[in-house]
Amino acid sequence: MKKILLFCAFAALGLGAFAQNTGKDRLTELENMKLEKKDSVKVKAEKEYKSIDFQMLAHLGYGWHLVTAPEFDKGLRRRNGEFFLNAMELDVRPARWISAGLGIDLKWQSYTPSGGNTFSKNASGDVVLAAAPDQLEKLVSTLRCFSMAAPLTLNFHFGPAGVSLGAELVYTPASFVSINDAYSSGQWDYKVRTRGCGGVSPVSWNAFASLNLGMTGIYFRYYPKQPLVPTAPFNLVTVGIVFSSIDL
Amino acid sequence: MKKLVITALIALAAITSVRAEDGFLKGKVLRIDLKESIAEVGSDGGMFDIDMPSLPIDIGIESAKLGLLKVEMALKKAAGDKNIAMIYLNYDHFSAPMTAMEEIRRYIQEFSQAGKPVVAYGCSLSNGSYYIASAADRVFLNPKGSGSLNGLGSDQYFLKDMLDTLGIKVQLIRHGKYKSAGEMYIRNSMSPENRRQYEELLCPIWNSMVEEMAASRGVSASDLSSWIDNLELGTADTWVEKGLVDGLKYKDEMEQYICHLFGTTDPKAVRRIELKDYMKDVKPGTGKKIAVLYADGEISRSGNEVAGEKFAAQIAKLRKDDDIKAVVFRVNSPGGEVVAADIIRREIELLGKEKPVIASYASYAASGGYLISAGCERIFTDKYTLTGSIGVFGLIPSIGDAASKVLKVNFEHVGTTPHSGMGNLINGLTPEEEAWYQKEIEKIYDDFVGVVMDGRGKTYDEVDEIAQGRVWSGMNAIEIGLCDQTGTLLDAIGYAAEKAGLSKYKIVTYPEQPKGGVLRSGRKKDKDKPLVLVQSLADEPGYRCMAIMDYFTIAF
Repeated sequence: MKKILLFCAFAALGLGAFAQNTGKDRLTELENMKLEKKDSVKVKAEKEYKSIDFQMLAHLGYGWHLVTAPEFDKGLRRRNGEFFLNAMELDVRPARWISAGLGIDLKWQSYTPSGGNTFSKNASGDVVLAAAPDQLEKLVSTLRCFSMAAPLTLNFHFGPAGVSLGAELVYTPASFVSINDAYSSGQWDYKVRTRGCGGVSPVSWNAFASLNLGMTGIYFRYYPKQPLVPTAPFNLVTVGIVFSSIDL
Repeated sequence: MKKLVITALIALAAITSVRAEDGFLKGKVLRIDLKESIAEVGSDGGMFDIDMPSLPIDIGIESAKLGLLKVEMALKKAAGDKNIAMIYLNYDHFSAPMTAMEEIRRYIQEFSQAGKPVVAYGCSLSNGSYYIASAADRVFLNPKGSGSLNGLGSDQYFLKDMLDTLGIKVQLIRHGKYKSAGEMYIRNSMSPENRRQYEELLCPIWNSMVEEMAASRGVSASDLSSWIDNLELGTADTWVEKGLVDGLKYKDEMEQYICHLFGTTDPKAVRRIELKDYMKDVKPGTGKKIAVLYADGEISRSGNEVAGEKFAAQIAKLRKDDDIKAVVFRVNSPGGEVVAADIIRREIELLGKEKPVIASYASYAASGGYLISAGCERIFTDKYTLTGSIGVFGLIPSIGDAASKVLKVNFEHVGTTPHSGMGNLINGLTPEEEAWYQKEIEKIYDDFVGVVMDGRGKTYDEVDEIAQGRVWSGMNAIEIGLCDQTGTLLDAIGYAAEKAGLSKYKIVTYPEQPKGGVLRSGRKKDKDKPLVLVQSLADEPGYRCMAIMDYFTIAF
């Protein structure tokens, strides 16, 4: 019995080796197999990802400022928000589920205080927030800034969805800060732009998080003690939509 | 009876359990595109590729090249990688040295032996591209494609009449009737020895290639030779008729063919990965180190390629590095300057006393390239490597007559000794000086033979018989004892690991290559011409004779 078992074991190994197909044999088998329309194997294509990727225009987004200070409009107003556009970004993705990015963004922001308040420049050329003069009607005073930001992001990928966390450093030169006022006085309507407003802190930072699905996401940004107006710093939360060209 | 039935059932279960996997392919297609340059030493390349052929110097950032070692490691890994289902080989725009293709062909065959298909496709076939494509399990060609196998050949040109017309005299001093590089300056045709050398070199190489291609395709070598000789291969249908190609397909039909192998009709459902991306996941290993030291290029005292003293310093570092347990000396050099070659040889000798040094030959290990490695413990070669060329020559041109007749420039020499004008390129050597040079050449030749005697365990006469400047293929070199066995670079590394007693090891390469984006400048070389290095005799106090370099191009 033992001899028979041994013999069969060796025979099986030997025949197994003999039965091992080469690539040519395998191809012949595959070429003769028929594709069944109903039961054809659906192979889910896994997207390849690049471990290091350099992109331009990697993302853009628009957000609405939810300002905590009473001097500003509460609720969502068209002139109280930000638009940002990525200039370039370097992403490193060591594994499918995580990546990090460092980029340079261009950012346009606008802030509109409530009807009773206005932005203006004081004698030193700095931005101040003050009560609007009585003779001005329908006053809308908007502070506009152009900044460059360097966001550093950590992204977690779960299939098509993802979560991003990050912080960014923002540089706002005084020459790119302007106050835009629109008001009526008497029988005239006025639009006044005051450029080159100082006093806005040139360097600030903020933290953000976003929930993404595919190339779209919702983001939340927190600006601590936004130093737009030195005499009236305020905390700022921004909610918005972001579109990203980096495929999750 | 019961026992017999039970044992038969057990055997059947065992057999079926080792049967090859059934069902459509699962995994990725590993795509190999032969237009990706494959070189001995890979480079990352840079972001830009600037090519300015009109400039006398080469300024630019090298484009990326795939390194042969990593390619081989990737193919070997792919054979056992469950995530790789097959290889798709695009054989158009073939660009790699012949020996690289020889080694890659072997790993492609091993991939197929592992039960995974290899499919090749392209639009035109030539010697090199068909040599590698024929290793595939299926070869397809574009219906409007074509190709021809022309065989190997070498074209040489001779300048004696032109130089005579110009009044330029060239004196060739050599030892080795086969040392033919300088003949172009002193002859108008090939010498009988040179012709014989080429014929006896090229024919066996070509015959071997034909045999390999024929065996892969299941045709007889004599039939294949006959078709080639009679120009019976041309348009796509002729290749199919002869059974050298399995079918004609357009690219979209190839896509559908590949999809079918994966059981789908949707190309997007078939995952692919390019070889260069797959190579990124190839790890060098862990543990004690095995160094792969590349001697890639001409050998000179201070050149850009294998610079003697700098290279020797690198070898000394390897000797002193206790983490490095063995060295594989990868040689791809046609030779070069005597002194530089000897400096390297000496360091290799010292290295060999402390740890195993295994030579692995690439396209060329000739002349100085053989000198520096002859003392290695074991020499691995490819079949189609060009090696040997154990011989010495020197060339002394003199332009005095040409300058006088053509340019009306006359020279006069005043010297303190009878031979102060020796090697000044004006009057050439006197008979006495020529005799002196010949003696020097003989001494250098004897030294060279001595190195081979020590390294290969042969007598002077045995070496002299196979030396004489003769170039040998790797296959023949094994027969005559200049090399030990055929094998790829990975084989040599495996052997080195065995000698060092390592079951796990990390492969490190030297000299270290600069990362991508490096700006290089150097003198532009005309790679198509046979290159002979001539050095002034007055410059070398020790060795007053010349460049040992002899290589030639084989047209594919």
